[in-house]
Amino acid sequence: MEKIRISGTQNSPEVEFDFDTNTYSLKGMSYLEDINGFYSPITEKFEGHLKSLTNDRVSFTFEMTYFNSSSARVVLSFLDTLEATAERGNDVTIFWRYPEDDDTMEEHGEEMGEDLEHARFEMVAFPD
Amino acid sequence: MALIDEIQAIQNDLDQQGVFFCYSGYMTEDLLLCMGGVVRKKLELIQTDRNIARTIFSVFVELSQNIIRYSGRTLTGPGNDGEESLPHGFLAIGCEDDKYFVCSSSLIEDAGITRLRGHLQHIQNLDADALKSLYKETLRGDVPVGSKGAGVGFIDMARRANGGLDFSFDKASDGYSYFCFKVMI
Repeated sequence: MEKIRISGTQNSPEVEFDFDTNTYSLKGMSYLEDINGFYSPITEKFEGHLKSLTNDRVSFTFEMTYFNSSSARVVLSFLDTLEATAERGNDVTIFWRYPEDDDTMEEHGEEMGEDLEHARFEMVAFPD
Repeated sequence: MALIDEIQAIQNDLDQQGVFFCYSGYMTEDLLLCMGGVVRKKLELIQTDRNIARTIFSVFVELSQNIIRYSGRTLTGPGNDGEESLPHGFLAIGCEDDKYFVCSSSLIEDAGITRLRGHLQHIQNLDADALKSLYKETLRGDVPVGSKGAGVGFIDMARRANGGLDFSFDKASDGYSYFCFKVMI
């Protein structure tokens, strides 16, 4: 399947989804007006592909510096898809990377990660 | 009144209230991007604590997008892409008694007041743990009635408002009221 590569802007994240290696990342800011218009084609492809996986290894990296309240729902839906994929026996690791002095992103990570039972969730602070 | 007095009267009012950024007029997402950039730069230059600066920016974005999505005062007319409309509102950021504040004012339809007031009164009385639960519960549930986003904007702001929040509804013209909202950080 073709990769998804979208450059980041001031209010939309950089998207790098490689369906062959099952390596995915979202980086940067997310507070764009048309949240659904931006994410729907991405989540549709992502969910469709992850459903087809068996005994695969998946790595998803979030490296967000800010997302608004509407985007939080999208982040959660990615995590739900990853959790379901792990529950079906795939090896799923989620990296939550955040600037080391960013309390909000750290808290978001802790909260988003605490409900996962099957996917591995790793918090990684990086120097800002 | 001389022009300088006229203009300075407005500026002095803002200064006295500690306001260092304010906008009153029509809002678009493009304008939000530019204003957001200025706000972040200003907070960086005065060396505001970075977590506080992030919170101010986050509240500023939420309140701006609320105006863009829900303002009851809009200018509508024939644009290049058919009928288009510009939402109107007011936003200010300032500092008083060593606390930052972000506030907004916009018109809303009277029909929406009961639900919004109930929601705000409810979250105003919740402690941190209860706000966290409500945030997650809402995010996991269906989008609440009347919301065009995730329905967690006010809950998120209440969680970040370590100085509390305040709001009011006051009758404006027929069928509309002023909705004012202030977050202390």
